[in-house]
Amino acid sequence: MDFSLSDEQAMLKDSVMRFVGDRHGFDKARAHATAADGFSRDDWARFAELGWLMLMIPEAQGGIGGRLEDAAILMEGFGRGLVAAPYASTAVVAAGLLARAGGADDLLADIAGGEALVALATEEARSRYDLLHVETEARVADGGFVLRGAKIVVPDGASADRFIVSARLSKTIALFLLAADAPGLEIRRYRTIDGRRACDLAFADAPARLLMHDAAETLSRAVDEASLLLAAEAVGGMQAAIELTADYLKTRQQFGRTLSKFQVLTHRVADMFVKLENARSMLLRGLAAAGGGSAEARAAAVSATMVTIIQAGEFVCGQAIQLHGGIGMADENAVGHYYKRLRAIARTYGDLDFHRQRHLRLTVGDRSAA
Amino acid sequence: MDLSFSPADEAFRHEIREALRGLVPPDMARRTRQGFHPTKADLKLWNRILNDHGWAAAHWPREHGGSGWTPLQVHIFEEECAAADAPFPSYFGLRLVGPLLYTFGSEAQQCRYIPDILTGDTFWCQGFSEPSSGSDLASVRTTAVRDGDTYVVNGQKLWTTEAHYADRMFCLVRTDPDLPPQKGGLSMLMFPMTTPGITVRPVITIDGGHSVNEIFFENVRVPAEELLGAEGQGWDHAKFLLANERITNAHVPRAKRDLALLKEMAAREAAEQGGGLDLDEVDRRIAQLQIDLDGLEWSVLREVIGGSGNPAIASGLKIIASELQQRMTELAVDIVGVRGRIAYDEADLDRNDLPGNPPDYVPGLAARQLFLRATTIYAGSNEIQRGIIAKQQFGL
Ligand SMILES: Cc1cc2nc3c(=O)[nH]c(=O)nc-3n(C[C@H](O)[C@H](O)[C@H](O)COP(=O)(O)OP(=O)(O)OC[C@H]3O[C@@H](n4cnc5c(N)ncnc54)[C@H](O)[C@@H]3O)c2cc1C
Repeated sequence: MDFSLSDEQAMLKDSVMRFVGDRHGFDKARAHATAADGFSRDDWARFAELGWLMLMIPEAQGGIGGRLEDAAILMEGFGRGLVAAPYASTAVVAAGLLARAGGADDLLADIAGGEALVALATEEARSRYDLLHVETEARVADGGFVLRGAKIVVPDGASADRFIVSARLSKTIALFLLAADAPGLEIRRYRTIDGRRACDLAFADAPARLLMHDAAETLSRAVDEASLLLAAEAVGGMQAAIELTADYLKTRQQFGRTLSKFQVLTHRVADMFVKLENARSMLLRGLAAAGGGSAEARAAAVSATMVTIIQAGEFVCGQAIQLHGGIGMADENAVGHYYKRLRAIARTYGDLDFHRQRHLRLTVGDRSAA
Repeated sequence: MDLSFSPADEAFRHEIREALRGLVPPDMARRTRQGFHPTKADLKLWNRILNDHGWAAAHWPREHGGSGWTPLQVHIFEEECAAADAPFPSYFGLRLVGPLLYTFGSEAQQCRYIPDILTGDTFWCQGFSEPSSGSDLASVRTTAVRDGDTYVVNGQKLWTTEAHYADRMFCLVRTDPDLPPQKGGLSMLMFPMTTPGITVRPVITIDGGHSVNEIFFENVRVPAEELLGAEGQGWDHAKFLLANERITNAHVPRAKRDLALLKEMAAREAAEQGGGLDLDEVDRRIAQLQIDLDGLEWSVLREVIGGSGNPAIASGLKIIASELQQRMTELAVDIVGVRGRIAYDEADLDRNDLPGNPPDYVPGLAARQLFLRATTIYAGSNEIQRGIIAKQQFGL
């Protein structure tokens, strides 16, 4: 075991920290949140220049062939800077699925160049994070496939120009690709609590290209990887919220002294730190499990990571607001934005209850069946 | 000791429930259930309806326009109002400045202000906190300098709830820069928000809503007759209010209504939104909330009926109630799953194509959960309340 960063990883970390530090302060994040896409297209072009958008594309398909740990380094930086760009969804999850499916090298090249945004749509009105609960149906028509059904709250969906969609094809779950302007596809775009943009999709016999059939396990893996990236983002966000809070305690005065003189507040910051570091360990544990081993072991480990992250996020960012007092409640202060992002992460690919249940199922099993 | 509700209390509840039937306009009831900040129009209308029945200030003594009910009857009344999805009436006139006026105000001030508070024709706001004076309220810097028979006010207030709805403010000002507040440095002034020199700017909170404001005073001239009580009594007035606030802020009636809605919501979500919701887990959390709310309710009843007047008890109620409100809305958002991520726009609620195609209980929940982070901060933060308990109860 070696927890230190490789030279390449150290460089990656350095460059994302520099990007966030120099070019992406809280003012920028706020401005992006009010822009139409909810993120900066200029930043996206810069990501392409920096090679970040090809990081996770396999070498054989023209990319760098990075590992999930590498993407996690970027995501931690994005979390710190409240960067809302659709990195995880397009450059990791969609790129990963397209690479595995094969036959999409042109689209991968477009992703690498920053020209294509692709979102994964799995959640449905009644699915409650269960990837196997798919009511959207695909059927053969005119020698191709058409989709019928609906998806809701697609992460980063509002700006995507293509969607990867899970749908039922006879008895299995398959993945399809279609463009945002496909006939029979209706898109409803809107904001989420973290100021980002999601969308609902309604398919009325929308023609789509089959990417992969019998895709349940591939999909499950992709979404677990997405969860880990959000976990990395959460770690970056928590770290920033704690630093802001500690700085605030050193400067804010009440009762003729700085808040840092009140031990109840400094101990709270200490607790926040302890939870953050525990969450960071669980992020690494999750990343380790995603790198090898059985599908069950991976899923259980990812759920354990997410349970820890979600609990830590609520405490750390909630208390960051609390220790700021009224100003923590103001939209113009950064801490509330970290809180909202953490709460959004905590209900994107599964919430606390979902991950606890999944962990229980995978580690204890079904007692009634025994 | 008699620990039961008497038949007369039950009869009273029945009578109120009957009288309230149909009184809350359906669209107002729906907005209340959705949990966004109440609109000014709703607050005004509901105030007027209550006043038509003589109920606007049910909790006040009869001689000042109250109902003359017992504290238990008032509690029952408020519970029934909440159950009927009525909004909680505007706080600042009926809960804060009204009692201040009938306790400390001159005859002339009472005549001038109280009737319009009862009808809801005048809305008030509370100008206490400032950018550098929050928990440490005694340090307020906004000054009022006597000039003949007026005061000239300069300074800034922050977090003033409903200042954009309000016609008048009661404002804590420094009238003597040399005296500490406890020794007479602060005073309470009342003035119209339209007085020249007042600027109100919205402060948007993390829920995206506008309920608080930032206020600037530039040479605002206030007639000296608008002083409450005598110059230098401001700190006593502030302490009187903060003590009142801790108990009203328990919001038990509203919490009971919220919990009832939570139970309905859980059942509907499980039935209509598929089997993924772990109803057992939700039920366990609801049971815990119910038990905690029962404890809070009995503590409030003990206090409003028994009246220990112990500030440590009142502070404890504020801590429990604020945390309970937060936990209830956290559960509500958890119940609705991925839709808890959607930022519903209050202006869109009448559309029939809302994002995520949600059941009617969904919009408003996420915003309310975010806003309720403030309950542990305002009305004396929970850290401050713990300090009060340690000091008042144990001399620590
Ligand atoms: C939504 C909202 C509505 C409000 N409405 C009104 C209103 O209508 N009118 C009005 O006048 N005010 C209003 N307030 C202001 C509110 O009363 C203050 O925010 C509150 O008193 C805290 O003050 P502060 O924000 O300056 O925080 P600070 O006092 O700076 O506190 C920051 C942190 O330090 C802690 N702290 C401070 N002192 C101590 C201590 N001695 N020991 C331990 N911990 C300490 C606090 O608990 C908090 O965690 C409102 C605030 C909010 C958020």
